[in-house]
Amino acid sequence: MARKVVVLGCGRLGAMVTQSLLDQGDSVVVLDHVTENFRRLRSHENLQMLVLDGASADGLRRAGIEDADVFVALAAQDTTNALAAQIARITFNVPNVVCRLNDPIRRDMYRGLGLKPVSPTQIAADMVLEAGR
Amino acid sequence: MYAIVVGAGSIGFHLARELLASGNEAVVIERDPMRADACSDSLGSIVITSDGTEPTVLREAGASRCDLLVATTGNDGVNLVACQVVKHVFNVPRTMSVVWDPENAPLFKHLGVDVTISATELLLAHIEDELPTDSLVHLFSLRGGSCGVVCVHLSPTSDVIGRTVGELALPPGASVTAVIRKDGSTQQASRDLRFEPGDEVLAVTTPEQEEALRQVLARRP
Repeated sequence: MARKVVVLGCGRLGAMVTQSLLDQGDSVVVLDHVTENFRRLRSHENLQMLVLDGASADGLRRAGIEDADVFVALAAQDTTNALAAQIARITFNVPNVVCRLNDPIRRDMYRGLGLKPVSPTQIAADMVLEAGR
Repeated sequence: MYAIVVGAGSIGFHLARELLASGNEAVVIERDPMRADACSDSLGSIVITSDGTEPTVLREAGASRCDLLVATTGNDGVNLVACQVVKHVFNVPRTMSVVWDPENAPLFKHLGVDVTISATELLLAHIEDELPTDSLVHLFSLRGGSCGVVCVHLSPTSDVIGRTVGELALPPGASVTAVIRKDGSTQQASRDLRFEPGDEVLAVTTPEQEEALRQVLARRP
């Protein structure tokens, strides 16, 4: 059965993740507070684009978070992602919550709180070191 | 007492000033250079111009020896993360946070923020105080938001006036604990206590039953 995924943030990363989720058959609701950011996406029957504040209980409720299987927080600010991810995980009990944290220092803390933190900074640093070996 | 204040906006600035005036030690962390300068012009060199959610900045601010962190920025995400970092990384004994979206208050409590202050809720409580309605005001949450203390102001038209506490068909999980009379006196809510116009009814309820409780107390004859 198609999973329902809510994606916060339609920047470059958010748009790329959304497109890949659609390609693999998931149904996606993507949230951003800037309409122009949705230009990064092509329309798709399983895609819903909503302009709203996704880092709030009200916004996430309107995005249908209550029956989402996965929530992915990919906004630019770590604090926005941390708040949104914890609302999704704790207030709405979403089983699988992924949270982008640019600063890897806070990663362990959020892992302990039941989130799956991903740090693009850490990943890029590892790849740079690997390539320069 | 040693306090770290995150955010030098209207709340943070005046809070830091009061803390210093009453003989406490305080440091303010503010990311915006203009706000930070304005704050240090007035309060002296107690301002760190940086991000109050960064563990390195909080360490520099003396988080490992502080008694209290108060998060006062205009952003709930920043406030939550600042409190979580000092709690988890530095074991700060007490954290307080301003909460802008009232819906975030139970979440903050659940995540270990000791005190949450919602300006919206405080104002609403005062506004509803002056309205002739049976409005329900959420006072605070207990046990991580699983139950809360609420106050219902009885309007003169409420059906429960003249009835006793024992006659109420309360929803499951809700109980009336006390009644504050119009003259300010407090009555314990025994079964025989009779409601009067202008009573403030204090009750404990689960969040799910809040609306049902309000309807019981607000019912028109």
